[in-house]
Amino acid sequence: MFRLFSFTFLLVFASLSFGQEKVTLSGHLTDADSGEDLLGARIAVNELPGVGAITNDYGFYSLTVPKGTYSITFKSISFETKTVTIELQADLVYDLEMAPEGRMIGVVDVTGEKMDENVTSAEMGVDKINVKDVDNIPVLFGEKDIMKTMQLLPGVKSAGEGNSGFYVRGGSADQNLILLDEAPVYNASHLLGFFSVFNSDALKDVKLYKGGAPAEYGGRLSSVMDIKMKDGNAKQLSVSGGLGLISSKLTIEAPIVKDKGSFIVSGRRTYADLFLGFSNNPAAENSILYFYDLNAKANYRIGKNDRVFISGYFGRDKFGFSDQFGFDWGNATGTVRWNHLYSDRLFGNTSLIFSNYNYKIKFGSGDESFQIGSEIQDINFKEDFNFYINSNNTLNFGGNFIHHTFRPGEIETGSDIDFVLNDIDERRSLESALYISNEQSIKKRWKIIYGLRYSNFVQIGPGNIFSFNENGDITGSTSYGKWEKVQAYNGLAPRLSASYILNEKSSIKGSFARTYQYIHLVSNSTSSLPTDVWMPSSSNIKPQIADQIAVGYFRNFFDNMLEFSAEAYYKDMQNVIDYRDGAEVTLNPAVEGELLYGIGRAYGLELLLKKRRGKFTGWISYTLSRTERQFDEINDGAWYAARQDRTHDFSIVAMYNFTERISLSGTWVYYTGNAVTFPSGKYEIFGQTVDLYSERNGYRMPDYHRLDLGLTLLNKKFKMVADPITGEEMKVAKKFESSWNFSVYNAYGRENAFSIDFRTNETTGVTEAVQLSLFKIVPSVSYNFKF
Amino acid sequence: MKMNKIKSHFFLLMVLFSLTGFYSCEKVIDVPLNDADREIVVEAIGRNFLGESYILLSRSGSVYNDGGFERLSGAVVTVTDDDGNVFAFVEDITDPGRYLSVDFVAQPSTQYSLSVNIEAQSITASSSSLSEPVIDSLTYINTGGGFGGSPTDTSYLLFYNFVDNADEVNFYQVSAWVNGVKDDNFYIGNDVLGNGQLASAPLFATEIGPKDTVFIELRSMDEDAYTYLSTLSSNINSGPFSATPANPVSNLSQGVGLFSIYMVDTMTIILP
Repeated sequence: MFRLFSFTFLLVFASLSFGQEKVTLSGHLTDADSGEDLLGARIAVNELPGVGAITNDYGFYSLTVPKGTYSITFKSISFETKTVTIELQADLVYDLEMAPEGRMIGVVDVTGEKMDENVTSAEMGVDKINVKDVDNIPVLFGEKDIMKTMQLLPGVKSAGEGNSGFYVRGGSADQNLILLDEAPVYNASHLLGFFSVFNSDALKDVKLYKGGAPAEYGGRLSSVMDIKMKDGNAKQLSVSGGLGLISSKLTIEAPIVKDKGSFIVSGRRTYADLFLGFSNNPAAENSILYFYDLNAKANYRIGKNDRVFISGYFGRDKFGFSDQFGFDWGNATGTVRWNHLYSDRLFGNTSLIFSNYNYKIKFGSGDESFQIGSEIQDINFKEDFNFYINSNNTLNFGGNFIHHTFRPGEIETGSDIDFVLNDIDERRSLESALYISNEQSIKKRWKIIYGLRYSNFVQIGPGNIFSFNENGDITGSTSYGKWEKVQAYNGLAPRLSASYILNEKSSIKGSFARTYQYIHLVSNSTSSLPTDVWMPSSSNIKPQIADQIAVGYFRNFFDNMLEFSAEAYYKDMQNVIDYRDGAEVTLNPAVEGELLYGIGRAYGLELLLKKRRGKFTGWISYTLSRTERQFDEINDGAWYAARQDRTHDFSIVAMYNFTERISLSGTWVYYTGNAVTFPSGKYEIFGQTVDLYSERNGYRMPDYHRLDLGLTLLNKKFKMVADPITGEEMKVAKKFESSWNFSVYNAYGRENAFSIDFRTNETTGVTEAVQLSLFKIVPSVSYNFKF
Repeated sequence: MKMNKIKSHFFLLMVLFSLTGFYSCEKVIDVPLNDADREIVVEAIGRNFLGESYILLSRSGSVYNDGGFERLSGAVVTVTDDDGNVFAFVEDITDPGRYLSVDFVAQPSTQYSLSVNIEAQSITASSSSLSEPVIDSLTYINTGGGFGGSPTDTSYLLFYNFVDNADEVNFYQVSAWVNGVKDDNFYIGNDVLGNGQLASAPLFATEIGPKDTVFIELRSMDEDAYTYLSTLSSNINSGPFSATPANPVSNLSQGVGLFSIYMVDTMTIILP
């Protein structure tokens, strides 16, 4: 291990140049309107082609160049590009507030600057979504949802009708690491997946790594979805909100001390249950059905070199029937961060992260009640550094240490319930990682990000640990004391991605990444349920491992107006998990015996054509792919298509701004139906008709396609005021902005199959294939405001 | 005592349908299916009461065939206990495909083997009996209207109570008849969580109202039978939230079905 690390260091330091005396330009870039940090903004030195910097997750940049006078350009998508002349004779801190583009004159084409990051950066398999950009995309019930927008990109597939769950490059839904301000969100869906837990009003930036994620990320096999919350307006009080068909939301942001600190609080609650109250049906009247989300964040700058952030998320779904039955579930996360500038070239961040997901099911009330609960809880200490060695090398390194607690089944009974149910033993484990990664430019044409991630996972006591034979039967049990090691795993994950710039319009890229996953979602259901349980790797469950290799070609046309990319990937997976036929996963202390281990492979081609600027924007994406699994115990050991195997997946997203105030949007998706198991015969036993199956996932659901349309009407942004001096009428921005959004989900009413059941028609006695479709045509309207 | 109820995702479906009730729609579509080879279906049940044991032989059909299932006559069927006593099961002339024995009574803690010879095939299986279970009592709580009813209604949640035998690894099945009609739900459990303890669990899915007469049968069985029933329950309950369907795990050497020896106890309650 150590040898490898020192080798990497050597490589980097060997490239440190001697000669001319160098100085460092560093600083923070922020949004002039709100004071929000600008992430991923680019700083270019015009006199030194190829030399530049990119702001980190906190808006910090650092650039080391020889002494001299330079013209330096700062640019960030959706902000006006700014070029300044700076005389650099000594280290200099230069902070800049950038103005959002076109904020006084409506829609504007970006200045002639090249927005060619997709071609020039070494990253591949990355999708970035600016939360502001997805405002107009039509969605189910008009609830803006970044997770659903992500599904319109190549390589990312929806888990089903209206579902916020997703599959990346043939991976399963639990192989996505979903981070909200660094805290993992263990169940990112509300109401069985129809809504994600992310209230887009509170979010700033979303990045999805589909492969080749940098070494700082680890812990899941398929992807990393890194979501950052807004910091809060540091300039002035700002209130925004929206009223929708099924939910309303309100966001308040304000400075704590102007330009030094700010906070944001954002809440959302659905009110479908309020309508149930008007119903004549007593069942509906006594039902409880809603969810809510609360996001809060505050930051404060202490002196020039330190800044602290506290952020948290709390959300819950509640379902119940009078006081006899209750079912609720939700996540709570919290992150405390401390940024420190050790020097103008070394940026550090220390985080303490908390995450909890739990569900509770309660029957009866008072003394006659009976409650089942399950929970996973993480406490994570994380340290990250960015070291800006020189203009060609940026070194990122750090590590983290997580304490996981798994409580698969906690049972509470009221005093009148006289039967005894034991809790299922909780499980504890420690997961830690160290990483180092360098981003290097070589001779202007090459950009390489190479790194290593070492991870370690230890299952610890206390608890009774079962052992199993190959049929999944318990063969023994060993008792372990507190903190006693039960089983340890570790892994070394190399990460590499490189780009070679062919010319200023095109590049080719390649990447390799190995990933380890130590915790697994145990679900024998075909869709995501709140009762799915996370399980640690253990003496019985091995970590999942994936290796992914990808190559890509990137080309921009018409002065970067059009972006095109083609990426091909191959992914090999080991120790993937499935369940024995009829596995019982809820409240089963011996659930590990119900698991089967196999291998998987996935490969595909992803094409994306995107138009970023102009009145007409949007993209077309197409994925051709295959994903398969092989388990000795399933399908007679033959390879079979995974559920999410979809040969073709096509989406079109189009947005057109007619005027400053009217924009129209549409999305169309088409994909091959999921692989599914249908019966090939039936028989009768114990008086019941039972289906007979011959082949796993040997059939296909019907093809899925759907068109959604949206119309956004902005109220007037300006009022005409007479200039007090000249008397001329002039435009003045209104403080109060508002908009109406109308959308139609599934505009042509396609009856897409959600499930297909084979059953006997009770009147005719004939067996029929019955297709269930959800959401035929769903119109919705919402009103949003901001002041 | 872990209880695995048949409609385990019932409440989740409630959430789904209360949300989408206005939107969802069903229609019959045409799905061509490949027919699997026909399989011989064996339902072989031995019980600890004379005249209650039977072996039923039939053949599977295609999914879209609604003409009933072919019963299989002319088989040679025997059950042998671990002392070498052979019990012949002879076809009932009034009910083709059903084979009965004049003297078979399952004994506790005994291993039995089944042999079925039909159409030049020989199907074998073995099953062990456990000790006889004893239902201690049936108790109930009033849950008002329960799901979907008004709180002023009366409905009951019935609990069965019995003491698990600590000397064995036990598997149980509970079935209910309400006013003489068999409830389609059945409940299965094991003693992994409560070996030797008082086992008490509710019949979650059985609808019971005032003045109902409920007959409960508690069956003790071996692990193979338990595995079969639990995998059978996931086969029957297909739907949007169920596991990928698969055939139940059978203890037969070939064909589909189950050979199980049940040790049975029963009790009746009349609700107020």
